Amino acid sequence: MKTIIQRTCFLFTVLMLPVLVVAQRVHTGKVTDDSGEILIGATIGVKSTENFTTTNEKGFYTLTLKVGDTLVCSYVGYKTAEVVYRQASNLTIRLESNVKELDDAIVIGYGSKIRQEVTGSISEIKMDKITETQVADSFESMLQGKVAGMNIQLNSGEPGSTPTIIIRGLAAVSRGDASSVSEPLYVIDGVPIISRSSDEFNITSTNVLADLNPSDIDDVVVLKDASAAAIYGSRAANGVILITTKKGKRGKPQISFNARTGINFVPQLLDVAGGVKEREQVSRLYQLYAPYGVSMPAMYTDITNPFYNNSSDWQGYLYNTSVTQDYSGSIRGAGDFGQYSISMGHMDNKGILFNTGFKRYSTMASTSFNALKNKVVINNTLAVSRTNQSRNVGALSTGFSSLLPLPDAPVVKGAEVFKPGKDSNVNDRIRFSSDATLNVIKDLVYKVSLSLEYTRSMHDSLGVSRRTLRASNTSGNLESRNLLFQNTVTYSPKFGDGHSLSFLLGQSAEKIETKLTEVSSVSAAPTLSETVKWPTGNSIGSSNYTASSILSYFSRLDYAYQQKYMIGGSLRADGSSKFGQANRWGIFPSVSVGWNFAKEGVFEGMDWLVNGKIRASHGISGTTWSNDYLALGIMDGGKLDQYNSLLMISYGGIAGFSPSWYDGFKNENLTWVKSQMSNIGMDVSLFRNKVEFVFDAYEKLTKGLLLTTSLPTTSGYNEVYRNAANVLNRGLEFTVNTNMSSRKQFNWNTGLNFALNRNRVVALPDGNADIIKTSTSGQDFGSVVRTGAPLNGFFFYQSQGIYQTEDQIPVNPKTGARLVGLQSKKLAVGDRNFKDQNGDYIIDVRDRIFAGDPNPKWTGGWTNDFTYKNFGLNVISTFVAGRKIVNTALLDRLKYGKGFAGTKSMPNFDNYSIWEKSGDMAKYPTLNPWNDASQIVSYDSEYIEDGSYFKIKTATLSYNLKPKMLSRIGVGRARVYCTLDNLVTFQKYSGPDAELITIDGFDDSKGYPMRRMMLFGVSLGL
Amino acid sequence: MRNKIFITCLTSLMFVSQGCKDWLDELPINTVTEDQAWKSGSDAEGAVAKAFAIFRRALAGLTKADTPSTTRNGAWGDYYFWGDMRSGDWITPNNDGDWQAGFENRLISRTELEPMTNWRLFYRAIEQCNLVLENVPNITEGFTAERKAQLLAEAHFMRAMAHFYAARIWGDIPINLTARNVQPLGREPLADVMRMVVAEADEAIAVLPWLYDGTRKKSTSRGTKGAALALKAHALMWLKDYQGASDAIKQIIDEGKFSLAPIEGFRDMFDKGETNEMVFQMFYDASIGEFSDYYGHIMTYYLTNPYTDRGNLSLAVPRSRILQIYPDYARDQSDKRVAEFFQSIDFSVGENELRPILADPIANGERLIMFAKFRKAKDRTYNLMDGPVPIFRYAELLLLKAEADARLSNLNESLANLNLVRARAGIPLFEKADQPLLIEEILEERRRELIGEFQRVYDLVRLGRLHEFNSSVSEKDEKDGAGFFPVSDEAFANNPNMTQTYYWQFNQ
Repeated sequence: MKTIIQRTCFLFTVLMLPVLVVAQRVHTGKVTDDSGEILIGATIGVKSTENFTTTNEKGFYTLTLKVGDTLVCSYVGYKTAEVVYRQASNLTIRLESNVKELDDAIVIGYGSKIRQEVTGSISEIKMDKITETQVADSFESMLQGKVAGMNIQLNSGEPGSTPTIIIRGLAAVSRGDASSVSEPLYVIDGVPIISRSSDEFNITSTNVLADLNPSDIDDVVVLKDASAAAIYGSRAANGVILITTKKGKRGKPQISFNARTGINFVPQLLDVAGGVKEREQVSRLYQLYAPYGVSMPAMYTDITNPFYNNSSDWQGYLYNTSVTQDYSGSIRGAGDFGQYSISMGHMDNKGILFNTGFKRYSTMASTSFNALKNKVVINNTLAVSRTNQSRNVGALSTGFSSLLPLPDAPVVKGAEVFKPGKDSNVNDRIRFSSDATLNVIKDLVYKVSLSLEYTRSMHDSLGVSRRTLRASNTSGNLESRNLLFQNTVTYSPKFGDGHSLSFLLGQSAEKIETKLTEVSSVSAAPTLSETVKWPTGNSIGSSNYTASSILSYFSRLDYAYQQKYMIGGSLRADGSSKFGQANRWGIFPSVSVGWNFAKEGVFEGMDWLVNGKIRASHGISGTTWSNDYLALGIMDGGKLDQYNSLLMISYGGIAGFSPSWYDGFKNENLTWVKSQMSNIGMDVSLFRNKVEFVFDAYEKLTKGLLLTTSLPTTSGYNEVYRNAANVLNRGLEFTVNTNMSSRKQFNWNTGLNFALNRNRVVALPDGNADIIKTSTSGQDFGSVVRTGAPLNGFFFYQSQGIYQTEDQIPVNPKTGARLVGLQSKKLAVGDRNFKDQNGDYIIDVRDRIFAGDPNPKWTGGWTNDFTYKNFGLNVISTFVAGRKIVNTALLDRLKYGKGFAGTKSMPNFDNYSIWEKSGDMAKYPTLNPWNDASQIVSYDSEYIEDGSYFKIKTATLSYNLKPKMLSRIGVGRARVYCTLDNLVTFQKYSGPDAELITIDGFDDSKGYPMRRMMLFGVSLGL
Repeated sequence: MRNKIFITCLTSLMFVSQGCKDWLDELPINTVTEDQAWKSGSDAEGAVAKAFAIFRRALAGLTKADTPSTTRNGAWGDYYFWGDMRSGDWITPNNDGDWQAGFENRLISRTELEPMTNWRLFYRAIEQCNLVLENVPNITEGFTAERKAQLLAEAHFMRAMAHFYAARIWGDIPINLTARNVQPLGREPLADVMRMVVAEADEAIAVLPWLYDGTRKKSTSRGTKGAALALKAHALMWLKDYQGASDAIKQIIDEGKFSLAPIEGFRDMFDKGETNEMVFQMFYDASIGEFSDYYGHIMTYYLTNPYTDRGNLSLAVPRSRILQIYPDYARDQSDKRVAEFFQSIDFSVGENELRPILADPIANGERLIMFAKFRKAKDRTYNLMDGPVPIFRYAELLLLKAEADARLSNLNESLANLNLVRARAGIPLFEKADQPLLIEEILEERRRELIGEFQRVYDLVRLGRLHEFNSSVSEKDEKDGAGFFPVSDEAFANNPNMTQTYYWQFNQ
């Protein structure tokens, strides 16, 4: 329709042309938008005359002008420009987009704010530039290194895995060994979304946020301090991430299409001793250590054994170059009627490991209607997505011994020795939100919104145990529903001489329900059925349900005088169903002040100072926990055991309830974890915004962190929850952005940010007694929480080398007994010499000392953006410094049990210094598989390494095709690009990748290496 | 127009405040909360049954589902390892290192044996009873006063039973008689524990019925007067109150509800638990879904093909030892129990077929005789194992009374009960009215009758005679507490009052 109008206008212009030619001094020029794209049908003419025309299909206009005429040029969706004609030869007029006016505002909780008046610590990332040339499973990984104080680590290279995001330091203690993360709250277009299911209900391993197509995101705002986040109350203590999706903009319809294909290369893998070398190493271990009467398996000695000469490269077989494809397209537009935005995307990320991959299908439609002369604005957003992650079931492992034949080897072909199995994880999400904004009277806006979110996770797996040949099938279905109803009233008058006020009053009610249905079967005979079938009459599955609701009232008052002095405060009251009646409501206040000192008279005339602001804030926000009924004292009816027997449920056919021994008993006093945060910050812009400097200092005290404390076994209960630990995070954040354009053609933008964070436990219950977490590998190995030390701090056994001679093993002079090793093992020469810190001649948990901090001290990122003519080069780096990590992956490979032969691949022992005989100056103790006490444990101070790294995450080379060429084929804008992802890492760590580490600092051997990707793409705008 | 908008706003706000009244009351629908758990008679029924279910699991053994400090995937049938493993009668034909360490009383060195040193599940059963005794008295609906009293008596019984069983394993143990007791409890002397058991049993005896409606198995797997009397008698034996023990068992005998099953009834007794001889047993029944599989039942380890998928023997009594324990069988094959308790398999038949059972129970070699007191269907699987776990049996109580009477010098009384058991086995009656000889013979008879029935080690430890039968334990060791299991590391966590058994402080 629009084109027809444009064409008609053009025809009209052409017809009019002969008439105009009669006049003198005919000038030709062009009208473009700010990116240089031509505008067809723009109105241009001489001010206060009737001498007007429109641009033709190539963006050109012809006008009769004389020097001194003022040209007026206008176009829908763009600011009207006025230019005085001064006899320039080429009269190109650039129109600035209207939408730009909104750029001065930044999205904050329940509204937006003019950037100049912001008093909290808020960072904004424009996603367009990033998503255009990069591809990722989820948007979080694209934010890595972009925001000072937001530490994002990709802990696994597995497609669809979840990165960890920690804003301003860790403030979460986990139960048991697992490392827990203080998760931020995610809000999409004003609606908090389901970002994670609690462990009990988490049946798929996929990142819940990976279903959001990064290309749909316009910008991401990170609320870091309490004054910004406290308006989200009980869930904001770990920061809030506000996501705004792309909307249509005024002007011509924005049609864009982006297609890219990446090749994933296998990075450096584990070192493996193959074939002969493995055989030699095994026989060496047998020679050195095998007890009398134990001889090597025939695989190593009998040359007629078909496996004798085998040398399988399992890593080479299972890791292969793979392909990632990503397509997205969208149509967006806006006008007086409102706006529309429709987008679709598909991603297929094949993993480098056999049988793994991640797929995403997503579509999103958003429309706004302006009714009653803009008195009412109605927004509707519908987003539907599916992700499908397939995982390796582990029946085929990259860690198999090289002596085992590959599945395609002639010896085993057809024998189905290695059943591949199946593990699929499908997540669906439907998000619908509808809101109506009523402009009741001038400056008074009422908004009501209702949103419904539905997620479904389906996990189906089939695995065949090679040992028992039993097949196990599980099939689970998880559904979550989230209902949110919000009402807000905003009154924002401006009065007098630059006084502006903004008052927000709101209410929200939210309910999240989750239901899980799961069935599983174990059948004795191998079956290839991927569905659960019941071999006997006991066809029982299990289902589970949990629900929580929150009711909130909140308000915020902001006052600014001439954008010079700002003061604001917010107050939120949250009631949650998770707490007992006594502790049901929590109050979360915050205050903040700001001073735009650059606007003071003193700085008048100092042109170099564009902007300068000092901010300060203080506030309280909270976090809750995932177990909805914890405070109520949940009872347990028992569950089916692994054979679907009712032994844990009923006795003599009568079923009953017992306490759930892990969650303690009813505790009405359980309440919010409260986080007090103070922040001081400064924003300075210098030299016409060429240099921008942001500095923040904060202190975050998280009080009453929910902690499990083990109870004496005689109580019957394992643990009880308490609001117990207090954790302090202090930090500094620096951001420097520069924008250098030496000549018109060359532009160089840099963004450097780095943040320092120190984490410390400041209080624990029971007189600050250490809390030793239970560990799957026994009491001696749990993590320790201690006051004064950081969370997850390493409390390790202090290595003093290796016992070289018998007499080095200490003997208790009183009893004559030798030092007892870890887990009461008898120590021998060649074992690790741990220091007996308390001198009781027993190495146990009491001998552990603080040995390192896995929380990074410094994190940050450095972005460089070069453009020269139509070429662009963008390099993003991230770094972490001052972090300690443990090379657990290698330790696990060096731990051998009695039946070690032929079970797993071995590293090449020549590359490691391993103790064999007295006098060996070795790092690793003896590998004696028959010795109980080899003491190769992860909690050994010897293996702590420096986890610092500097990573060039992506480098993108792009080229904007010339508009001339494009206009012929009807394309407005096109860019071709090549991106290298995970380009290079500089690290001191001896393991494969210092980033693929759990947040508590262990390189767990389940690690999936991070692929290197070379991505080619083309992005078109019509 | 403006008015319309205003009204819309107002009504929606009203709607919100109306709907919000109960908005924050979320209660689970998949389970109940503590406040909801103690409302009616059926809640009480369920809670008491749960205490028995927890105790059944405690006997089968701790797994990693119960505490993360163990790595064991499934229970092994720990009642065997506590009650029989160290009796000196057992071998491991397939040279299992863990079993061997257990035979030799090396209970700390093997991490695989560690779960057996952890008493957590016993205290869970105790806590469940404490909760019942705290909450059920307040329940008034849904059951008769009589039933309520019975359930409370059962809780007393089970609380005593769990303490008693744990005390036999660990010796001195903490006593916990209050709900939600998170205090760090220290260990109480064994005698104090047994006195508490007697007191608790007395409370139960006064109220509990002799039998409930329903099958014998169902009835005798719950707390009954007979079971409580048997418990009391056992506890008194540890206290050396032989008269009390004898009197308690006499009450059981006099009631006449229990009798010795004929030899032909052994399969019903040991495979199904359906017999008049069982006084207290743990309930298992595959037909209502309460069964074990590979894990959870000791049959997994001593049965082989044709009963299970096992190709070799893992736990067995050697042939020479069988002949030594059953001298009458060695002499003239008169002891009918041998054929009931042992079988020889034709190992010449392939592993993939049902191996036939030879007619002669001890036809096989020294290390190849299968212990088969408890059996299951011959289907070469571990599926649906539901053999009973006897705790008190009439024959066992007769022998216990015989011992008490013998020690009280009531030799005729003693001989009569001993000979009831001997007569059933088809062996000659014992006639020597000589106290020391008689006591010795009763102990031997208990060994014969109760082999593999989780009693032998407790008998030996009670009498301080483990060192006579287990060469790995010296007399001094036993005095130092080597007969008891060590206390697990986990019991010391957050408990400064916990102490290790003297012997185990020095013998790692």
